[in-house]
Amino acid sequence: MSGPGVATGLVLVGLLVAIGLTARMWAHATTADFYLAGRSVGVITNAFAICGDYFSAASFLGVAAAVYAFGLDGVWYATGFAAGFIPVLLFVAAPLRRFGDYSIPDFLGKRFDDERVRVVAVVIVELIILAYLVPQIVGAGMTWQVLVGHGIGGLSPYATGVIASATLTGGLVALGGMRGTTWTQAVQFCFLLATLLWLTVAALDHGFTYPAAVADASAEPLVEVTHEDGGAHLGVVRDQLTGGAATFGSPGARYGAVGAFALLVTLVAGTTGLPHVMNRFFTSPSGRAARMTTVWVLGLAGGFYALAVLLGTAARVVIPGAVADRPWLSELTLDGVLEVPEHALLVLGRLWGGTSGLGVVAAGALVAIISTIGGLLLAAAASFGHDLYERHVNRSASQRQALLAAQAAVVVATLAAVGLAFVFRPERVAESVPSVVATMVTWAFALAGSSLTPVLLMAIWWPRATARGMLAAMVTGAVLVPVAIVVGFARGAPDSGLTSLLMAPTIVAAPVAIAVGVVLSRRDSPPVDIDATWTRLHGTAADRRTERLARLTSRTAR
Amino acid sequence: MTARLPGTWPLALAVAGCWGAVWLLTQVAVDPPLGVGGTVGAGLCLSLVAILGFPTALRGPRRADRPTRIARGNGRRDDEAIAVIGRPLNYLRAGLTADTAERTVTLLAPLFGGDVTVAVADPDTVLASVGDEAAALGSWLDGSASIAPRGAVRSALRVRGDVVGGLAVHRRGDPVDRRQVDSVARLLSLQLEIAELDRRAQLAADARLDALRAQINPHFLFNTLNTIASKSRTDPEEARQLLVRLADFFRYAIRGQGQFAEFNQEYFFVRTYLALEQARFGDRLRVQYDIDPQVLAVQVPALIIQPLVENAVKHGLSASQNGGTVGLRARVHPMSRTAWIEVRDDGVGMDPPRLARVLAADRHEDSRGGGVGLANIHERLDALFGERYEMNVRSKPGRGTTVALKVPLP
Repeated sequence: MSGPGVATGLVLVGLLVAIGLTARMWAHATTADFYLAGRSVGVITNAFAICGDYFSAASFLGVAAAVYAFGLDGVWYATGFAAGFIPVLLFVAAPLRRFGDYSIPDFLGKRFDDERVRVVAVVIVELIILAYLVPQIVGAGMTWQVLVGHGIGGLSPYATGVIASATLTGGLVALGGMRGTTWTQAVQFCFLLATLLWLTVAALDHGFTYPAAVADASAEPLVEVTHEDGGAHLGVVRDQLTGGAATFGSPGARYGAVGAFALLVTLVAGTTGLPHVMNRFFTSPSGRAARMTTVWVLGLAGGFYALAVLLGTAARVVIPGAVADRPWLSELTLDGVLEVPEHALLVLGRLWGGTSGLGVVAAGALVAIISTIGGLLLAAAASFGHDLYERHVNRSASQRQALLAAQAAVVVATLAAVGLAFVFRPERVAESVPSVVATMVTWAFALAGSSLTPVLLMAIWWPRATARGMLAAMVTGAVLVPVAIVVGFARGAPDSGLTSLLMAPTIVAAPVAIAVGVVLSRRDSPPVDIDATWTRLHGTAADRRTERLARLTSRTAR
Repeated sequence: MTARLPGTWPLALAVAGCWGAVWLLTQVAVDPPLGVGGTVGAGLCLSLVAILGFPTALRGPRRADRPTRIARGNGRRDDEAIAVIGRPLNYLRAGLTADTAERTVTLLAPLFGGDVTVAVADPDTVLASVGDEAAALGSWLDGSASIAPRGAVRSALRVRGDVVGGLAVHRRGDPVDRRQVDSVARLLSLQLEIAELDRRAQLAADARLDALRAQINPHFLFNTLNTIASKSRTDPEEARQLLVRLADFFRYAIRGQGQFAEFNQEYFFVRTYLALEQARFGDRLRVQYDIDPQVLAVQVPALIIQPLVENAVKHGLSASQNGGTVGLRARVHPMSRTAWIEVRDDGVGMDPPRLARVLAADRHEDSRGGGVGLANIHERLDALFGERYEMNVRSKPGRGTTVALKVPLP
């Protein structure tokens, strides 16, 4: 529907890929040196790279969409996504790096010296990655719907977007064209941040002020597009707290008191267990650098989500007034309300930047999606190839065989995600879960936060933890969460505290997992030789040694 | 036969996954859904591919070194014994200890069948035994009792002709065939010999590393002292700092123990080396680093990268008139979990015959200047990784040399 938009978007994506592939020489050298020398430039680059892995379709499109749809209740997503790095900073980053391994299954397997723990961790890691992949691919399908508007080869626009993004990224990763180097991921995050900043500046330029916009949006009850009785019409959003009509600026449009709390806990706990994000912490030069990196990630994430919230609000007040003389917008809206909230940022881009603006925002969305899918697929492949294939399936595997196994894992994960993306088509599930991308990411967070996070915390901070206890804890979390979500899904629209609790079950599942782990560990005999492990996890001598060496060399090298 | 085929469950899952994917793609994704015939056909095709391709994918290409029948005997259970022995008896590959002996006797007892007692001893004491007659059999085996329990058979475990232990078997009622015990003892001895070989290989690798350290230290000392000597008149303060650095450098970088070190330590080592060489060569030596920070924390074999860089400087650049550029590039390849390290120079390069000579050279021939030959590095990597690493050398006269190394992450 918009030739220039498509062109702009494709050119930008191509440009970013090119930058990622070619620009490296000075950047890598200096980054590594600064990093080693404990200087902030290196730490910041790694923080940007972590953000590139972390910020996905859910962050870029989903948070703005959630704010657009539910006002204050959408802000919980932003809060939770950003605050997820606080437990990482306080409890996990430095010890994980000091123990020094390459992935979460590796860490758990070595910490408990038990192969069963490793294998179960691999299975759970793959499940989390799959759960996180699906919303990314759904987001890609939705971006295509707006950007291109028509499908290729008889497929619907959504299906085309899903298949195109999955094939592109899966193929790139499987063929080795995408290695998620620090520099590539950092550049991609820079682009995302720049896109949001541009939209914000454009908003301010058009006379937008946040307090006025919130007051403006809250003046009337919040409405949404519903599809009851065969046709689409506007309905007033019910306030979960008071039962009356919800407004933009006050809580209750989506979650009751229990629901909001359950969502926040789920998001905060989940980040610690996300394999593709945590893998980057293993690569910091020292425990202290890992911690400093997390501080920067917290700052960057805070800024990023503040902008997303701001833009979601802007979309709420700007779009109704803009429909009148724009036929393309009236296709997407009903009486000034977007049918699919995820389109909010894309519409803003086109309003303020024409089709090129749409192209820029769509490129941002695609970059967020591609970098996250890439990171996820790489983590999936590495875990499968290394922790499962080389250790348990074919112990004498050559490098080529291991690589083949990893590539097969990429293909399988991509296919499975595409299949699930068709099952969870937005128009099919929008009835029970509006703001589908953000909601589905919540499920991945719930799975991670209920199975891996409790086990990581116990492994790092409780010397008494045993392999059997941790196995049981992981399995408990990983079984409880899908069961809860399926039950919650079956109950339909989240208008009760129980349903929203079931849709974001970490607040219950994680304590249960911890309890199971503690009880079983207590029944086992205490682990022997825990002191050496403890020194490795929490001792700082190695950190100091690395920093000392770095200072020496940076002087030598001037 | 009730033997469990390995990989049955994964195969079942794979087939189920195929049908699930077919269902999703033909019934859910497309509108209207595909007809029954097409769906079933697609599902059958995929399942067939999965079933046929599965064993290969699981096991990798067939290899020649499958366990072969070593022992010949007419014991009733020999076939079964040999079939099972191929896999689990490699417990003893870790050497003869109480733990491995325990696992071995537990495994052996059912093979002999009946009311059997099995004991394994080293020359001093009984390491493990299982069965009712354990006490009597044990004291006979370790020599504290000279009378054998009736029907007991013992056989020595030997490594290169030396007796390192013994295996004794006693079956109540129906004595065990001596040849069967002997053949099992020979198999165990074989495992112990392999264990011994492994240990020797490890010792040799350690010795080689120590030799490398000894070889490199004087070289560095020599260069740095020369630099310091020349600076001591023109710039005493810098000379003093160089000395302090030198002391610290030796304390931190060379002290490293074991076969592996974090990449960042090796990187420091290389940087310091190149800084010293730059002081000597001046503008003739230019250096480019291209390091992804991800690789910094990775464990790589110690003292591999610096010799490669040293070769690049020595053989690649010092002979060329205008000097040149030495580049070090390092990446993590996350999918194959390998570290990619590349050292290149744009110096004089080598023609194919010379390259072949260098690769085949022994250490004496190639280490004239105190450097470490490629062949030497090759050998060490062989000892560390076996088949699981790659080292490629590309060289062209006048265009320089590139050494690319792929080593698995631990």
